[in-house]
Order: sequence, then structure tokens, then C-alpha cells
Amino acid sequence: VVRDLVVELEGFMEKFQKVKPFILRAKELAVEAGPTRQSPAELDDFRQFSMCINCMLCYSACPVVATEPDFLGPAALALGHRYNLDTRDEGQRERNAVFRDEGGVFSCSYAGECSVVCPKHVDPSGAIQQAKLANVVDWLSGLVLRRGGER
Amino acid sequence: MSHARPVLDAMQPSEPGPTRTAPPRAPDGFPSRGNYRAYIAFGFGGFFLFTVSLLVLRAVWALGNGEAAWNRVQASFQNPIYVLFHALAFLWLTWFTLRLFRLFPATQPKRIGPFRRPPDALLVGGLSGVFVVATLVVAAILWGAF
Repeated sequence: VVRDLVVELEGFMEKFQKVKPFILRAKELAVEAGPTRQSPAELDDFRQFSMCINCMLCYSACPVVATEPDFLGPAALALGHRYNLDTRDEGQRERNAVFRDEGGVFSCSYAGECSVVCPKHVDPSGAIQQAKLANVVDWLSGLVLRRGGER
Repeated sequence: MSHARPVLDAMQPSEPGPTRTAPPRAPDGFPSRGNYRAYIAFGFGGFFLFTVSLLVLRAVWALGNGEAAWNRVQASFQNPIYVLFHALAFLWLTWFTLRLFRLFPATQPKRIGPFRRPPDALLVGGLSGVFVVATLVVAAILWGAF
């Protein structure tokens, strides 16, 4: 925090872009094809992780952010994971490559304080641990399957 | 005459000046507050994991060097310092494992395949229960109960 209600976003926006926080499709659907439907249960899988208001409290609370400048951080990783869980998205492989890179999910040492301070109960630390597990599965399946990791 | 509007960057300061970016710093209250204490203690558990692993390796190494070497290792286990260390390591690793199980549910997705994730209490209770039972069984075997 720079001053009351003034949050330093410099650097964060670049990290934010790295996780591609938007729907990625291998091939765009034609408008005539109609909306891509999603069940309430599918929405519930990621709804919690989409409630972030970018207040940056999680970055202030994270001991890894303080020591590892390249760490993408709780909010960015949680949002990337939110899109990986979205059934309309097909960008898991692209995001997982970023997640597994330096400063990705495996830099998190699970202090868990980001989830404690989050005013919207997003639970970024839970999202990051889930992303770690998903990445291990993705990497292992990539060893066995030719195009492993794709849904 | 061009009527194009100038492109403005709302984040750009009106005049150049020193950057406002604050240097990275440790979180407020680190490491004495709330979650940080358990986080540091959890990391410190690595010392016991590492040391106990070395002691196990030492015993395995002695096994391959004849009966006399093995007996020396066995005798060293009776050293009071080693007994104290082992008791501390046992307490620490028990806490380490139970905390790991307490954190476990949050690491799992809401749905595992077609199934909903079991309730957190069931996951934590189940894993902790298995750990406690396994520890008691191993302790009973070492005690010579079977």
C-alpha cells in the first residue's frame, strides 16, 4: 500500500497478463452456434476464484512475493487457475506452461496468509495448491499421452 | 486539421518524477503473527526430516559393514541425547503430519472426476486417523507387543 486506498499495481499488471486471464479457445465458435452452455455445478467449480477485486492484500501478506520478484503471486495465479477450471476455456496447456515456469505455482511455499487476509474469501492459496496438483497430473499425462494435459 | 483525440494513459504521471514503486518488503508482522508462526515451524520440521533420514542412512550403512558396526549403531541409540532428539523429532513430525493433513482438503478441487470432494472433516479425520493407527501399530511392534 502506497497510501490509504492507493495500491501499487506496477509489476502486477505484467504478471496478470502472463497467466492469460481470459477465455482461450483453440477455434472460435461461430455466433450462429449459440452460447456455450455451462451448468451451475461447473460454474461453482471456479466461482470462488473469480471474486478477486485486485486489492493486492494477498501480495502484501505473501512472504514469497517479498523475496522472489519473479513470483507471479496469489491473485494472478488464482485467476489463471480460475480460467483453467472454466469448461469454456481451452488454454490449460498454455497457462500450465506459465504455471510451471520460474515464479509459477511451485514457488509458493503455502504460508496461507493470502487466504486469511482476502476480503472476498477467494482462497488464493487453495487455488495455487490445486494448480500444483493439476500441473503434476498434466505433466505426468504428457509423458504418457502424445498430447497430454488437454481436456 | 486532425480531429484525432490524443491517446492518454491514465496511469502515467502528469510530469516525470521519481518512481513511486515501493521496494519489496516482508509482510507486516512477519514472522511472529498468525499463520506465519506455524509456517516457519512447519518449514523448520525439515531439519528433523533431514536429520532422521541421515540417521536411518547411517544405520543402513552399518548393516552392510558387519555385526560389530551394527551393534555400535544400536548402542548409540541408547545415548540420552539421541533419545531426547528422537522424542522431539517424533513430536515435531507428528505435528508436521497432522498439519499437512489439515491443509490437504484445500489443495483438492471441488470435484474429483464425476464425484464431489468428500467433506473436509472426513478427509482430515480419515487421514489423521490412519496416521494415528499406523503410528500406534508401529510403536506396538517396536515395543515387542506382537
